[in-house]
Amino acid sequence: MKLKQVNSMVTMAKCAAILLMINIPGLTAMAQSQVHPPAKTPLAQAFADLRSGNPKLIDKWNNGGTLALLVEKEMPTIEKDTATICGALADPNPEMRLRASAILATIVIAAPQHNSVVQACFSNLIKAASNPPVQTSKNSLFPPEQTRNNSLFVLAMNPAGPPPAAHSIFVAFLHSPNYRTQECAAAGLLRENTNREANQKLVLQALDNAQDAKHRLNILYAIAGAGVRSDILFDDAQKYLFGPNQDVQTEAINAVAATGKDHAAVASALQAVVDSPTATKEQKLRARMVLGIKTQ
Amino acid sequence: MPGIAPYGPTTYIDDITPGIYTETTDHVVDFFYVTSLGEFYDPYGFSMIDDDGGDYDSGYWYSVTVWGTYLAEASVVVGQSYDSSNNTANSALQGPSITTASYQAFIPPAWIDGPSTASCPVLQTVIYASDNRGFDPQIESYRAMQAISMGIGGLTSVTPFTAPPVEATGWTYQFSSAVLQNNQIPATAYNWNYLGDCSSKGINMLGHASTSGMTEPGVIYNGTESTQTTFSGSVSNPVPLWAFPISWNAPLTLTEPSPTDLHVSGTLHATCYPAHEVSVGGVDLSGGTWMPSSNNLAYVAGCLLGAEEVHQPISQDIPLLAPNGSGFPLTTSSGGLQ
Repeated sequence: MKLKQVNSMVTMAKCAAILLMINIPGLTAMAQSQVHPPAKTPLAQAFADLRSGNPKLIDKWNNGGTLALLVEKEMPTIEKDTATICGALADPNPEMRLRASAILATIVIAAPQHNSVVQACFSNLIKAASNPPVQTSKNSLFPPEQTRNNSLFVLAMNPAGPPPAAHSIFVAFLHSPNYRTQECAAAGLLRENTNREANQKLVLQALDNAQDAKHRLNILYAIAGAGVRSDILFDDAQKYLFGPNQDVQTEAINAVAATGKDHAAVASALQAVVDSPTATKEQKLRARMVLGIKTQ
Repeated sequence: MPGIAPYGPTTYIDDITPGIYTETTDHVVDFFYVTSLGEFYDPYGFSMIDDDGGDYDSGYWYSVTVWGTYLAEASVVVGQSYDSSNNTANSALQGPSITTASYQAFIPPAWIDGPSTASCPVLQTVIYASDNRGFDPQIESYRAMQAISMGIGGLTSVTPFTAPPVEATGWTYQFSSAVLQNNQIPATAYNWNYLGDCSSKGINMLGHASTSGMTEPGVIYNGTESTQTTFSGSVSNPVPLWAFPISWNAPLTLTEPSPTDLHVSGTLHATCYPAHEVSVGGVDLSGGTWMPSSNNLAYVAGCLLGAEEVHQPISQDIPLLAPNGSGFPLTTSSGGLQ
């Protein structure tokens, strides 16, 4: 902290003390709030520590699962931290943006009942997804695209559905060379409430024109994960049940099961895999598992 | 069971030319190892008696490490030990010390919660069977595993003596949370007749994670100075549609400052979930182990999505096998040449 800032704080404290002594109504309350600012939530304090520039305070939250544990503990009242989390998404420090995007994705996965926090951050999520990928630190295991991918995942998969303003970034990232980016963008398009058929066609074009099996596999993950039942998606996904790549074939089983409107049609398509002389043991196993579910 | 080509079962151990042999077998085996100490399981049928009738550890060491997978690949190391009869290195006879280093990621409890899933007609919460274990590099239950046997820089010489690395992942079993009885997954739930079950009988879904995100560990020999290897990679739960990977990166440097000492240094970088275990010679490295503080889904997700990472320095001395036979079990410098 710079000396000037310290001096300024000391002066404020002195003024507050004087105001308390002379007890002017109104001014007293203001002075008290300056001497005792509203208590920060533990998560807000953690983010303040991480921004402090103090290595000791930063290390406290930087190595040992302490922040992850704090997020778990704060989850029942995470709404109190909405401003902290949304603000961190716009922080100039990429590490803060990563942490905020991770917390929001955690809400979507583990505590979707707190989705109001996610919805409050929609505009900053779109900005965070649009930022160029940055490696947060030299030794970080997370790829530079992690913040973008977390943000796209949250926009796509949050239980309220994607905000309309996210449409253009979903389209922009549908052909990303990054598998996870492409996958989340595809899921976002499929889960939008408007232009459903047009969006499905865009995703299927990306599926059919995928540059390699790995990209095709990830778009199939998105189709299965989005859980949108549609004849167009169902018909197209079946093309890959007997394709040349085994991973794609196996994931196509999930995509067929997730998109079919008619259980009998799904069962018929998957029974063909079980009966196929060319299907692998794993494909037959996966088809059997899904058939078990669908025939309950 | 095949033997080590060109040697077969019943071959005397000291008839085998020192070297590293790799065998691949479809025989299902459990983890085991062989040293001059204690019990072992030998699927290759070597005679543990010298052809002159003496004990096999009197002049040769023999180490086998097989990691249990359905397709087991065994690295079998056979060679001569250094002369430690006078408790000092004999440069003329000293061979390389060989040790096995390994990394495992495992989920400590018997099961953990997964997210709600719509893979069944009714939205349900699911659980995943986990590894039910603590730190012990000889326990064979993991989400991801890498291992490599290698020569260590010695006092006067080192032979680049690298066995093919081994990489594996565990199977993932997903159940409906309704399957739990007394907070445990009953053994009957693994009955495959109930595959695809959405209620309380059996396996809802299962899968075997890909090893494609792992970087095969290699070994760099810096003369007699040191030997380096790195465990790194990522692996995802193969069952849920939105799985986020476990990641790790653990560069290690091994030096052998004396015939009875091994020094390991490096760093463990890892996601803060699940548990991570780096071991050398069957000994956990204190800085190379990480036990998560929680197994709650929010903690798991936070760790795997980027809320926090683990960065732990490793610096540890490990005693090698002493002339009297004590010492850690997987290093194969042993015995006195007679």
